Amino acid sequence: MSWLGLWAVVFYVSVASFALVSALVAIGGYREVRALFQAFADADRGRKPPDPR
Amino acid sequence: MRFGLLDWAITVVSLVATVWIGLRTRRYVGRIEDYLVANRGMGVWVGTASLVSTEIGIITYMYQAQFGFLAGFSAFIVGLITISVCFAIGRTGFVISRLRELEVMTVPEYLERRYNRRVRVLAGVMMAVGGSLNLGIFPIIEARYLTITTGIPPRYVGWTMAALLLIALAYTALGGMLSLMVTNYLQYVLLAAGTLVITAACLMHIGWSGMTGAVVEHMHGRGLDPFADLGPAFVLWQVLLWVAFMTVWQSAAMRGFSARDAATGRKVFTMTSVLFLGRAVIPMAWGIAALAFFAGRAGPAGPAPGETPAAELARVDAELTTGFRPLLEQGRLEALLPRVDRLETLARAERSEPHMRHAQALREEIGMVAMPWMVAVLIPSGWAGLVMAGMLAASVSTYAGYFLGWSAVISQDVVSPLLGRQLSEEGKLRLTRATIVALVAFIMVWSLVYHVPGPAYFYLQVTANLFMAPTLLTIAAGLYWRRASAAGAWACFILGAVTSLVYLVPGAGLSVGAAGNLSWGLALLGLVAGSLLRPPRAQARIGQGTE
Repeated sequence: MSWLGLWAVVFYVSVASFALVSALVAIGGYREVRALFQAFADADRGRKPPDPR
Repeated sequence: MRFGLLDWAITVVSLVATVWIGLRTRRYVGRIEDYLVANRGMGVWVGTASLVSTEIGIITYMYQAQFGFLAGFSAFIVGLITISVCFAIGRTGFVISRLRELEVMTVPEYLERRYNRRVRVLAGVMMAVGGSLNLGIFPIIEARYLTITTGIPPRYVGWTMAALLLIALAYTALGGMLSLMVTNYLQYVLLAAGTLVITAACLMHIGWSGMTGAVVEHMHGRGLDPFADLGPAFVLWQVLLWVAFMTVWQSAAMRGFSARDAATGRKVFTMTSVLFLGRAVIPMAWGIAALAFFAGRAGPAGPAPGETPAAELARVDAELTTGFRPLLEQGRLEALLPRVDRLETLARAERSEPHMRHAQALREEIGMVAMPWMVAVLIPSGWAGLVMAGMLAASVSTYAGYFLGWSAVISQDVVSPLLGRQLSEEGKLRLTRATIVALVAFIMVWSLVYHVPGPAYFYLQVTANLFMAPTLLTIAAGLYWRRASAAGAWACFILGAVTSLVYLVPGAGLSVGAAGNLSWGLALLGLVAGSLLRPPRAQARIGQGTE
């Protein structure tokens, strides 16, 4: 394979994989951010002193 | 310039949303472990977004595009090295898994456990110096991108950059790593969208054939074979540097430390490898597209009737000395490129070394601004706002990640050990926040006073190299070689920094490949010789202090 052929493959693979993995990160990351906030909120409630009422 | 009201609205809304989300996390941060490593609760997807958005800023796109503009497709070799190294580390867990299992918060922290406190402080100092110098040129280079693409008058760019730094400072200082992880997710989505928009514009307006044509036509036989253009020494150094970058670069390593467990950390690195290929290759292709864009609009340049080559060389040089700056600031690169080409050709024919250096310096300056000038012309209003939101997200996330990374090292590994007493959790948090503020003040000043020698890509890598080789070698030896000693670690750090410092001195004349490889060679020599001459006092146990 010539250098030009190799660089064409590298370029198109990099763009396609960047788009695909970015889409996966956008979808998977949303669920993880929500779970992370939930975990911290739970831990935060656990740290607070009990309500005297 | 097509940056309109809608574009400003998109940009401002994205920044306000980022700050609001970042500040919301503050109430969950009570301990230093929450602050620096988000209580080690990071998952694969958020970890990937956080690592990639920290390591992609406007600065990254600027220097990668400049590298593509100057080296053509040969620059792509860095992308192949990056993906290979990152993937291999993700699969094997080399260094990162061991450090995660030891539950350290900074890279030098391990060095105290394995060697002694003085090695930790020395490593911390080297990292603080190298990291701050590295970060120190970000604002001035990013300011050029903002000026060109938004049309902000240059006199306000300093204030714009100050505002961006303060935004990153506000939510990083208050929310730490947790804030970073959440904002990085949003920022990653924006920067990925902006990246794809610019790439689509390059393909639509210039196309792959336009890019290849520009390299073949204007690089005079260069731009395709990285071993011939950049040299095997450069390629070797890049492999070594990227191994170090993925394992011991504080902002990258912190993502591993923040992972739920070692396996999650490995998955983040494996996933990131694919994105790191794009991080290199995509902006490099923009740089090549910019070359094609401006070279395609350029007119011919040649001798005046009856002019000798020596007289033409003197004339072109004089024209560029006086006329270069105004044309560059107007974005009229199509008028500059043929003259710089001509200067280079004549200088080579006349064997004039000063003119060769002048031509090269001018080409580097054009390469730095070619991509933003092309973006300013190609991207239509509306899309320009999305691209700017992506670029600013990339920029702010990088600042935030680096502020946290380097301030963690300065406060935890330099100031705190030197204080000689144990700080309270609140005291550690206050110290780290104060360090972030000091770091911001430093980079604003450094950015204004220092002139970068050569391509920005080389400067950034050499400043990183100040400590990357010694840090990786001392950590790897600490983990995998029982005879590694504190004396060896000291010698490793001192010798490893020498050649990088020499490269940074203006006019020193050391090539970047030589500086990089010498740094690794000397660091290894120092480690082995120091350890053999002064072995550890007790039998080393992996991961534990012995001296």
